[in-house]
Amino acid sequence: MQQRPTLTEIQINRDLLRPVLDTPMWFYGLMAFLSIFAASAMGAFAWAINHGTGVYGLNRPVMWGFLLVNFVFWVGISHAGVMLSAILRLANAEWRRPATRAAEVLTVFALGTAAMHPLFHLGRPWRLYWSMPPGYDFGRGIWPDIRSPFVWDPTAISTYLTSTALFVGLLLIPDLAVLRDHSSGMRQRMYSAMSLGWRGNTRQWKLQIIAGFLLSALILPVFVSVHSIVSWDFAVQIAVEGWNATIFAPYFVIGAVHSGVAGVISILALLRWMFKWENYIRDDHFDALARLMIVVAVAWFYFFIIEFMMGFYPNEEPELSLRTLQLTQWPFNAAFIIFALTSFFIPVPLWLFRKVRRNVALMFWTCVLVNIGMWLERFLIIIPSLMRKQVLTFNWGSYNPSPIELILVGGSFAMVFLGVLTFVKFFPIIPLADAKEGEIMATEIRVGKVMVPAAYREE
Amino acid sequence: MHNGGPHGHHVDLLVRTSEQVNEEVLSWTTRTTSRYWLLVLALAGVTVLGVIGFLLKLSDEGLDSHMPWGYLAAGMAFILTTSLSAPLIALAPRFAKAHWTRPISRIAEIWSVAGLLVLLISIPLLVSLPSAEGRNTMWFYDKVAEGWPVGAPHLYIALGLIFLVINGFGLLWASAIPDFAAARERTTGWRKVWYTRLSLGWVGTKRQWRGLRAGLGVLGAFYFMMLVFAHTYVSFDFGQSLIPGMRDSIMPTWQALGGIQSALATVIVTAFVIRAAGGFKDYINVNQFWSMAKLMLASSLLWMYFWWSGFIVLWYGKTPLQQDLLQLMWFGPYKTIFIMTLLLSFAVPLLLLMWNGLRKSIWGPALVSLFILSGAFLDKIRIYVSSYSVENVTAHVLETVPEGVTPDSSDIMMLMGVVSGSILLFTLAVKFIPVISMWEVREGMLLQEIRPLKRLPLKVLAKPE
Repeated sequence: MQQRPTLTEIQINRDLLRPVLDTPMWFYGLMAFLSIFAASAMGAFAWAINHGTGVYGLNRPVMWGFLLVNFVFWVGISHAGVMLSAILRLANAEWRRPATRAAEVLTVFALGTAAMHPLFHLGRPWRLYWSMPPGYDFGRGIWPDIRSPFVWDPTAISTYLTSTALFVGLLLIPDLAVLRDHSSGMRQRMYSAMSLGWRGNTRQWKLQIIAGFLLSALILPVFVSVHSIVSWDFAVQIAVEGWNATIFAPYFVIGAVHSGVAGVISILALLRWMFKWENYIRDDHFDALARLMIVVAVAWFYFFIIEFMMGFYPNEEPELSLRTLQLTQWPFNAAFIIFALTSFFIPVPLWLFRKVRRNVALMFWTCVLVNIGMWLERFLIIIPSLMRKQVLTFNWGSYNPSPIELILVGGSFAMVFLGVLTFVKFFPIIPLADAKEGEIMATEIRVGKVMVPAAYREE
Repeated sequence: MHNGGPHGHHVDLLVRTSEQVNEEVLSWTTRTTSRYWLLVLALAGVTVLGVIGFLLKLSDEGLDSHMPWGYLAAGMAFILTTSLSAPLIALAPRFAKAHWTRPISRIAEIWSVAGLLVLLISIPLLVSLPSAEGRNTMWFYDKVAEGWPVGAPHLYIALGLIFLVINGFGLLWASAIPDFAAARERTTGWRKVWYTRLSLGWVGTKRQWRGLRAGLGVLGAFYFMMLVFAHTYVSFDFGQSLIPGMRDSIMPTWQALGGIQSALATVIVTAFVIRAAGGFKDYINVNQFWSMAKLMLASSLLWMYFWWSGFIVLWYGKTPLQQDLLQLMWFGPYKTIFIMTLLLSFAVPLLLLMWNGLRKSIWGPALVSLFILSGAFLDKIRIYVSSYSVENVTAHVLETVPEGVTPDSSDIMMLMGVVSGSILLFTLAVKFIPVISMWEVREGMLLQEIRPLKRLPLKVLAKPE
């Protein structure tokens, strides 16, 4: 039976505030390293604005390439926040505690990075306002087509981003008050302003808890709608083979949860290693998350099988040519095999073993594999379908990603990690209040000669 | 049963000794009253009526064409969705180590006995089902090689259903072994003989418990997979593949989700009845209904989400085929049924379950469950009767939208017989298999306590690793 160390409030404050108040030098080195890649991405974007979208590898009929794959990927990653934070909060799962804020922060930065990709794609991003009413020329009264998923998309993403940011900010207030009380000078003034006069009295805690529950419940429909709407960017298009499928919405959502939770597990492992938080991000947290991943992965795999099978079901030539491309032609056949292995066939059987679930390194690497596989999944959905978009074979196209696209994709990873690290520098990534509450709620029950870990439950 | 604290704060926890649990559950199991036999008689009578309806239909229409059998297919799908999906309510929370499911897990598992009825009904349906030749099926008959896979779809549907039912029985038996052992020591006569046989020499050693848990895990996982697979091939082979040109990838998953919603409703209604009839108010309290009501609210919202996801893609495309499909399935002859389904499976559950007072009650979730079961029943009629009404299943696309098929007297008798038959099997089973899982309840009592935290009595839940 795992012995859980008893932590005092002082110890929790000291350990979890160490990255904020006493940042090690390597942290700045890491941020500088990531900044180089992020800056390269911005440089590539500037290059694209200066030289036009011809610098991308896009052409008819493949008008969406790596940038859209990356867009869908990061929107997917952003789904972990609500999954872990809201759903597990509503379910009162004790093991959510160290993961919630990390998941929410990952959501904010992943979503922000995802939202930049349509800008990269636009060519003339200063005309973005044309997509918003009454953007396109006040005088002519031409409104955006609200029947288009391309209008639903920014609405959903901005709603999700706003609500998640609000979620993070609201639940951060008690921890900001602790930071206020542990800092001095300019920082103290900053935290004092942000903590909104938090004193920790009964009324404030009651409001905080109610707000947390309400936001959790209200954000759930937004969470489901975001990736459903992103999926309808593809699914409502009847002209593109492989896209016009009714299953796309839940398929994308469950895939997003799959990749998002894997992303959070990877982040938790890194945080545990970087800051030596073995007492806070424990093996049983990884065990619980891995069991959640098994359920999500199996559900995702079922959706994938149905979606893939339906490609062959109507037995029609255009769709069969797409599937032939995906399964037999280089590099898509290799990508398909890697996708299948990394997203399901390697990690899930491993997660069935308790020893693997409780091994942080193995959990980290299997979750990295999952995200490699899920990136490839979006690649296999978008690009081969566009390559076979036209019925007439002489209109079939090909796609080669340009260096600019590759820099933007790589830079997006740096941007997300940089965002998360910046947050870690200024705010506690593990909620102090949750950690302290977890300590209070943790107890044991004697069953015969054995002490079984238990927790108090409020109803 | 209530453990009161200051300020009238009540925490519900079962307070019994192990012997009391055994005594209370087994005494209800082994005791039959005249009211019970009246119920059995009534159910048997309606079931026989169903058989008569089937025989009438058989003599009138025969099994050469699938078209007259749409209502029977709807009945089979309804039992698959409700009774055979009910064991999920025992499996999933057990996997999550949830304590609230302990008193109701056996109720959920016992519903797997209705699998016998599904197997029986599937025989005429399989005989009348058209061959896969010349049409699209999920088995890709004739697509890879001529005549391959052999026996598709009939053989594979039959095997799938048989394995599902066997798995369900295995799961029920495995989970009841410790209770059969307890009953073996406390009964006489034919019951003792059968409990002794079925308990497989159980004495409760550490090795046996480990084996039991591993077995339940494996059987549970397989049951879940087989059930989802069953929803897939039933919705395909008795539904989608009978409509030329129909291509709705979300339909099998939507049916599987509907199974979860209906399973919850089935278990809630059954728990409500068992609680009242068996005097198990201390075992099955508001916690069980509240937990299931929350899941039912979530599944109702998901039901709507899945339906909308499918509808929007078909509606948005507006191709002639998609418009014909929308007419056939939703806005044509079955429009009224569809609207009622939408109300009963989504709108009414949402509007009622959104209120915490109703959710956290016993009668509230039970009432909503009746609506959901009605909605599920109508939904199966909409899907399978409309599919069965298409005459030319080998056309490339749907040629005309057929007229709606109203049920004749045989159809009504068969539907009544199907529903009452499944309830009859459950009613017979609960007088042999202990309806409350005694070992799980006893284990739960060991792993739960009431303790004060800052002067407030709170429940303490242990979760062994």
